[in-house]
Amino acid sequence: MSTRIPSDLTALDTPVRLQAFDASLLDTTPDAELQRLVGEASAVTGFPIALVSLVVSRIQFFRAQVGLPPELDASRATDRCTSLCQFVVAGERPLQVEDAASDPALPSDLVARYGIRAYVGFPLRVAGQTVGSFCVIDVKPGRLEPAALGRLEELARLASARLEELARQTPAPRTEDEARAQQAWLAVAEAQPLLNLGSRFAEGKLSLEEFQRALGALAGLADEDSRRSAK
Amino acid sequence: MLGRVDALKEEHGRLRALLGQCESAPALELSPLLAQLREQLRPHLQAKQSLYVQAVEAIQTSGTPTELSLLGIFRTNLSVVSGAVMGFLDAPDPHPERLRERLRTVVGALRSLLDTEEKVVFPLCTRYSKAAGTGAAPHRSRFEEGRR
Repeated sequence: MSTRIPSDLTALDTPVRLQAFDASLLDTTPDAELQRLVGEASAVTGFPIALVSLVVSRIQFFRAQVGLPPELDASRATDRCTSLCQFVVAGERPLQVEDAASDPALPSDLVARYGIRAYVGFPLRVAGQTVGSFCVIDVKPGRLEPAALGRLEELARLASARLEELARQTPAPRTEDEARAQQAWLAVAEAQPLLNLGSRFAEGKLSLEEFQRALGALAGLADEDSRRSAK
Repeated sequence: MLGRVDALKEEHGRLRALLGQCESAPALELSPLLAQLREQLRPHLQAKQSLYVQAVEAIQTSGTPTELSLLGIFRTNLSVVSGAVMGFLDAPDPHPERLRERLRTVVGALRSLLDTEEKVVFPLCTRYSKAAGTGAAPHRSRFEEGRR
């Protein structure tokens, strides 16, 4: 279990890693098995939030979650660059953060926006690639005892196995055309959280404040679009 | 602006029908339907971008900062989703089953976009268009008041 934040994040953008994501993984349809695992992770550790977080190209996508506020339950995502899960993926090893607010090496956005303090994450692997983090989060500083860490690691292994099973439903891209098509689809899948939020707001299920806070956590998506349009 | 909103609403109906056809088509028959979707969608999305420009101008004159901010948010969403969906349609996957599987994401995204525009964006455009025509202050529903 490491407490060091990796500084080299290049692993996040390797094409072979990003090709591991497909429709069955970035699906908002709840998966009973993953949902059971995050529920148990929260119960075992006493941390109120537990996630199967898939760290994609621009966002982290919550494939299963317990304990998130309503707007993040709606969007199921935040920008990748503000996530703590990106460090689990980049370092390809477990990470424990006792107090995110006191570590200047960590992005401050989610600490400021949602009060995240303690974090423990284990890598999630699919087809030999580290695709995300099975993590628990608390809004107060804290650490886990070895027994809880051990159980969390087991749960992460089970979550990886379930993701692997889901991913097997779709053959991986093999040619250049297929890889290009997968990237194009990924851009739609990563835009989905913006639409989910707009839709919940339009239905009156989110307040303007919740809507704006969650959009703030996805500001990178919109900024990137503005940069592209300006070129 | 009113005429443009009405025309876009009609196009929504046609697009929804086409999306339904794409969803129920066998994998091997998808290609021509996706080409048709691409042809219809491109001018539709461009027309929508123009509507936003017009609506922003109208709301800058007589709207509230919240309405302007909402319009800005939905305009950005449109831009992000348009770029991504057109990218998908421009580079269809040669593997028919995988294409069909991924299409579910795209159809879901487009339906969500159309629904939200009808609930939030079009009413906003219609209200300011009518207000501009009559010189009256725009009427806000209780639902919309609650959002401000």
